[in-house]
Order: sequence, then structure tokens, then C-alpha cells
Amino acid sequence: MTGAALLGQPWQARARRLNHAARQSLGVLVDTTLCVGCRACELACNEINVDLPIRPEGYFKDTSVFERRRRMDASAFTVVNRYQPEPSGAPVYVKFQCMHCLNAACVSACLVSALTRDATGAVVYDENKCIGCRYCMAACPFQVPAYEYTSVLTPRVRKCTFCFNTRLANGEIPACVAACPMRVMSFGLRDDLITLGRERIRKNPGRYVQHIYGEQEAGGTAWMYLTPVPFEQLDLPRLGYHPLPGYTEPIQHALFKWFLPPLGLFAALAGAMWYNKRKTKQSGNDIS
Amino acid sequence: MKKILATIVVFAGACAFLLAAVPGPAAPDTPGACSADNETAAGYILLREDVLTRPAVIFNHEKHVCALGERACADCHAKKADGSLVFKFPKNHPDTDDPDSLMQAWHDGCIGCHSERAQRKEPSGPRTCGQCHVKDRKSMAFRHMPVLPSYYEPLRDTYHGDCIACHSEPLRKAEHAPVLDWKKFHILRSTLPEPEQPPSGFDYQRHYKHTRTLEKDCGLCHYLSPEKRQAIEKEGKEPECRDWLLEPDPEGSWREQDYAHARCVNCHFARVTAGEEKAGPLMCSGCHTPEVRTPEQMQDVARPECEQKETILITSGDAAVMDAVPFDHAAHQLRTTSCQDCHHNGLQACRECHTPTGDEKGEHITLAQAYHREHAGRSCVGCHNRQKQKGECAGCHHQLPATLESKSACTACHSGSLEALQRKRAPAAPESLLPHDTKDSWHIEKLGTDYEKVDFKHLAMAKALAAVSEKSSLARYFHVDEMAVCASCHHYSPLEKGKPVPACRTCHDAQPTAAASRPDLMGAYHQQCLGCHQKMGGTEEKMPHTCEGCHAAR
Repeated sequence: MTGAALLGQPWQARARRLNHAARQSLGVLVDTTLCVGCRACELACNEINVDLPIRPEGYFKDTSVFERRRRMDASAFTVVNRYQPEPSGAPVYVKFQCMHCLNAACVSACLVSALTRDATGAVVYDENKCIGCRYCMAACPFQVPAYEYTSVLTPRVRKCTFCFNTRLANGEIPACVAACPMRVMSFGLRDDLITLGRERIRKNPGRYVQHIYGEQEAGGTAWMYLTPVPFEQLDLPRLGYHPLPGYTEPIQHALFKWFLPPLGLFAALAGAMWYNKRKTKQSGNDIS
Repeated sequence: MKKILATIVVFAGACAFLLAAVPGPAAPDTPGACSADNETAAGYILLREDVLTRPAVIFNHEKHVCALGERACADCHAKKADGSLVFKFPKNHPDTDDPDSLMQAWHDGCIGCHSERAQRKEPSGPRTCGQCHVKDRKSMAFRHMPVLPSYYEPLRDTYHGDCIACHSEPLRKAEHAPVLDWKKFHILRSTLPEPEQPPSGFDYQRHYKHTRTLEKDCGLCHYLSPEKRQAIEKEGKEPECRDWLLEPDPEGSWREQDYAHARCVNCHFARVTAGEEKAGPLMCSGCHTPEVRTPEQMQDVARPECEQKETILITSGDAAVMDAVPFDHAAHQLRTTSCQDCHHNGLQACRECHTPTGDEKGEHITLAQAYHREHAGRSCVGCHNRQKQKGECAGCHHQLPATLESKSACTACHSGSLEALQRKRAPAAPESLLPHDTKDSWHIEKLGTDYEKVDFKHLAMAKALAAVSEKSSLARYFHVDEMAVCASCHHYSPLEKGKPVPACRTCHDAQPTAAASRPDLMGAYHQQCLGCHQKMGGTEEKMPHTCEGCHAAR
């Protein structure tokens, strides 16, 4: 079942089916307490996505990039940032990439179904369908999709692919997960990862915030985080647990349900016209 | 005049007063040098408002003290009949939360004084609204903070430049474009929760200075109820340390902040007036210093003289189910910053409030919990757990579960006799624990295509860890098992002297598997080695943090 097939369905039914799909879908649990900021994931991402710019050797060894907070752009699908929650404490490194939401705002916002959520859990982008409206960029609560502003003729929206075509299709795990020497990321069925995350929290009280970020945020995401400090301190935005499309779709879908509201509007207008015309006729003051 | 709904709050985070004190080194004995340009947080008081037609006033307390002189406290603060000061502003504080009367009182206090001084042709302060309620970037930044995550910060000027550049003449002006109202992009600081209050900074060094200067007159600061004093005098004794209470306020009606200012500053003030040489600071920044002293920095400071024996045997006083715990009180005094690190309510024994079954006096925390709560600030186990996460200890302990589940955990403390404190244990040399055929060092191979094999110096590492363990008195006491140091890497394995241990690959798979509760072999090595190196915080040469530090690139 793809996101496209789901798009036409009423919201509640769709949510139910998505929740069912979520249990089957894949995910990644990022344990930020383990990350040492080696940027091997950034390197692996750059290598597997061959259309990303080729970087000089040693580019991904440079730790001076941690001086500022970076964001994903058209040339990098994942970035690692360094945070210093306590001035004298240990730094915390956080890897950012597309969160692959279970009920993604970008998928809902896309006019042409260029973005779809695959049953594996990956939110996949089809550049052949994309018309470049960039609604997905406005919709994403994590500000992930980037745009190739430098490309004049064929600009694309760029974001992490979950290695959907390059590795998942061959039964391999995503490149960044495989490359991480510290095994910060665990890959598997999303349900199993939630169990794993809860177990880690339970076994190491005091080490983690007692919540898996992404388990419920924005209706749940495929990529989830365990952190040692409150999420806001690591630029993981505070979001409600309700899926974002759930706020807009009921209105939009109700407006055009069976095309009845528009028909009703036209009927009302026609009625008003007819009534006015009759009134004018009866009064006999035809000015034309 | 527009009705103003204002709540004037002294902003705890920026304010200087004691409750929000940043604990720090002792104040200089002489009142600090006067500096009106003191830009540190202490010295400024932000008069914060929730709804106010004018911007908040950023009040520079230090500047006023400098201008009026340190002894002019009574110019602004009320004086009681006994001559002591009440540190509320203004003098005729209406003692209400009504915003209008508060505003009136503040305006009378400030503008009244400024006007009087101006009439006397003395240097004076502002008298018009806009001079105190300054609407500038600083006051706005105090009041509002951007809603965007901090990684937008480097781009702030670009945003401002780009947006405002278009919204100026001849286009629609920024102030006429409702969408561009900057307040829509910021939140009021007052809607955020107050910062948590740090603990009081009255440590051993400050106590020692006060004892020395005040010639051990405990009653100047501590409190003893008249009944208790009579009872003690009847027995013909002097009051002991544990008889004195910290809290001098029998009704418990004062806040600690009021109490500290009323007691400390009034006493200092009286001593300054009396011309005492060592009077104590009067300025905010004299007590509210940002640094925190560690027990190590106070090793040479004499601890308060108390009647407590150096070592005691702690029993539950009840039908004991566990053996008693020998406790070295003197050693613990050297490793804390103040008595209150453990004795949070007077200096009595724990069991006086925390009864074996728990009752209201001890907030229903039983005696056993008071000693054993794993994450409590003052329990034995809680504090030891925190020590294990510090410095070199954290290398191994951050990976080991901090629980009481291990078999030897109970008997390590509950040994039943004071002799355990004296036990001298000759540490086992690591080489004597290894199976005889273990090599001193070897290569870890199979490292893929990018890196050379790792030269792993097993014996040297075991020796280094044993040395770390020997250095700490806490570790010396608790690493009873001779294999304790080995267990830091060979976790969860059965360990016996001279017996080979199971290889890492026994439990750790060669390849990552889906949602595995254990990392694969590569993850296990990196988490174990690099995790420990990072936590121990050694140099790159001794404990490499980078890839090439352990294995050269191919």
C-alpha cells in the first residue's frame, strides 16, 4: 500500500490503516548518548547518493563544522550538530535527517503525489511528478526538504531517501546506519525499536529523558531519538502528538465531499438569481 | 491614564538576592570595589512585567549603591524600630499584590527620591517615563526571545535585513504590515517557567570565615528555642552543634530570601557602622559570586568543630535485619562542600526524622530509603552513584548499571564492625589475575577496507585501570572483588582468577541485526573503547578520541 493509494480515503480510516502499517514499517532509533560526532554517517550518505556533490578527501573529518548549527540542504541529506547543554558537561551530538513521519505533512501537502509514504516506512520523492511548488518545504515541521535553487532548468526537492532505492530494495540497511562505528542507530521494525528504546530507558535511569522522541511526535516518525537532555535543547522541536495532516485534511476533504458543497453553493446562487429576476419582473421596473 | 495591569516581579534569574544566589567562593572580607559598570547578572534587577504599556525597567542596583554610598541602604529600604533593615523596595511597600498600588509605590519611591535630589542640586536620576522605561534593544531582548530554534541565530541579521528592506518606503512600511509585526516572531520571557533555584552557597569556607571572625558565637546565625536552651542549662551542659537549628524563624513564615537578606546584610551593615574591620560584603556581587567551590578546593579549610566522632557505626536502632554500617564521618566531611550536603534539616541523626516505617516528619521517607534512594541527592547510594559518574570513574561506570542489584552490594557497606574502615587490602597485580597463556598485547583484525588493524595493549590497559582504581579512596573501599577492574570491560561475564573469559563475539554478532538489544562487534568495541576514553577525558595520545588514534587509515 502506498501513500498515493491512501490519499483519497477519509481521514479516520486512513489513520487506522496507517497505524496498522506503522507496526509493520521500518524505523531507526538514534541513541544520542552514544554519538561521538565522527561524521561517518555524513560520509556514507554522500557516497551512496551519487548525485550529491563530490567532496574532497578529508571533508567529512573536519570537526570545525560543529562551531555552528547546520541544516540539511540540497547538498547534504543528513548533518550532525554538536550541542553543549551544560557548559562544563560533555557535548551531545545529534544527527538530523528526514524523520520519515508515519503520517507526513509533506505527503499530505503535495499536490501531485510526488511525495508518498511507502509501506516500508520511507517517505519517497518522485522528481518526475514534482512541479516545484515547495509546499512540502512549508509543511514539514522539521524543516527537512531542501530545494535546488541553483538548478535553473530541473530543480528538485532534496531530502533523505531512507536509502529506499539504493539499499532497502536490496534488503540492506540504510548506509548511515551501516557506517556508524558507535552503532548510535539501531535499524529494525518500528515496534521493536520502541520496545528497545523503552528497555534502554528503564535499564539506565538518569541517562535518558524518559520519552522516545518520535514515538508519538507529529503522529509518530520512523526515525526516533533517545536523548540525555530535554529535546528542545537539541533543536528537536516540541510538537503535539496529533498528526499534522489531521488538522487540515478534514476541512479540505469536507469542502469537496462528493462535490456536494460546491453544487450546493451553485444551487443557492442560481436560486438567488432566479428569485431576483422574478422580483424585477413583478415590479415592472425593467431598466434594461 | 491608561489602566495598567502589571505584576512587578523581581526576576529571580537576573536578580541578585540570596535565594537565587549562585553559590560561590567566600565574599571578600572588605566590601567589594564599587563598579557601576558591573555587567554580570548579579547587580542588575529586572523589574519584569507581564502586561505593561511601557517596557520593563532594567534596574542597576550596583550603580545606585555606588552613587549613594554603601551605607545609604536606608535611603531606599525601610528600617525597623531596632535599626535593622527590611530589604523590600520602596520604604513604604504596600504589602499587597495589587498592581496599581505597587506601581504607585514604585513610582513614588524612585521619582520622589530623584526629584528631591534634583531640588537639592545633587546628582540625580531620571524623572520622566521614558528615561527609566527605556525601549531599546537591551530591554526588548530581556523581555522577548525569538521563537525560531537557535540555529536560525546566525541568519538573524539576514532575515531582518531582507524583510525590513522591502517593507520600507515607498512600499508598505514594516509597522503598517501586520504580518511583519516583530512580536509575532518572539515570545514573552515571562511566559517561560522561572529558572530553578541553585542551592545556597554557604560552604565550609564561608562558615569557617564566619566562625573565625565571630569567635564561635553560634547564636548570631543559628537558633535555639528558649525551652531547649533552658533544658540544656538545667543539665548543666553547653549546647552542642546538633542542638542548634538552621532556621531562626520559629513560625516558618519567612522565605529563605527574606531571612538571608535580613540576617546577613543587617549584620554586615551593623558591623560596618560599628567600624569593625571585617564586616562582610554589602554589595550584591560580594556574596553572589558565580563560581562554585569544590570539596577539593577546600581541603585545607577547617571543617566546623562538631561533637560527632570521626567514625561511627550506623544502626537502624530497631530490630536490625542487616549488619550495622561503619561510617567515616571525618572522611565524608572532607568530600562535601557543606554540612547541608547531607544534613538538610539541622544536624540531627537521619533517623530522628526518617523513622524505620516513615512518618510525616520525614515526609514519609523511611530510614532505609533515606540511605538507599538511588537517585536522591543526599542518600548514601545516590551520592555514591553521582561520584561514579564523575571524572575517571565514569569511564567504566557510565556503562555499568548503577543499581544495588549485585550480590556484593549490601555487604560492601553492611559489614557490621568499624574494623572494615581500617581494612588494608593489598591490590592484586593485574598480571597475577590473568590466565598464564594470555598475551600482553595483540592485534584486533578484520577491520574492513578503510583501516589498519588495532594494536591492543591488554596488560598495559589493565594496569592503567587498576592504577585509577587505587587512586580513589571510594574505589579502594568498594572494589572489594579483586576482579572488579576486569569487569569494567568483561561485563556480564563470569570472572574468576586465572580463568579465561568468554570472547566478545560470544554475545556480540559479527553483523548488525535488526533492533538488536546488544550492539554488533564493531559497535561493542567502539562503544566500550571510545565511550570509556571520552568519559575519562584523557589526552588524545593516551586515550584516543579519533579514528586514527587507534587504527591508522589504510
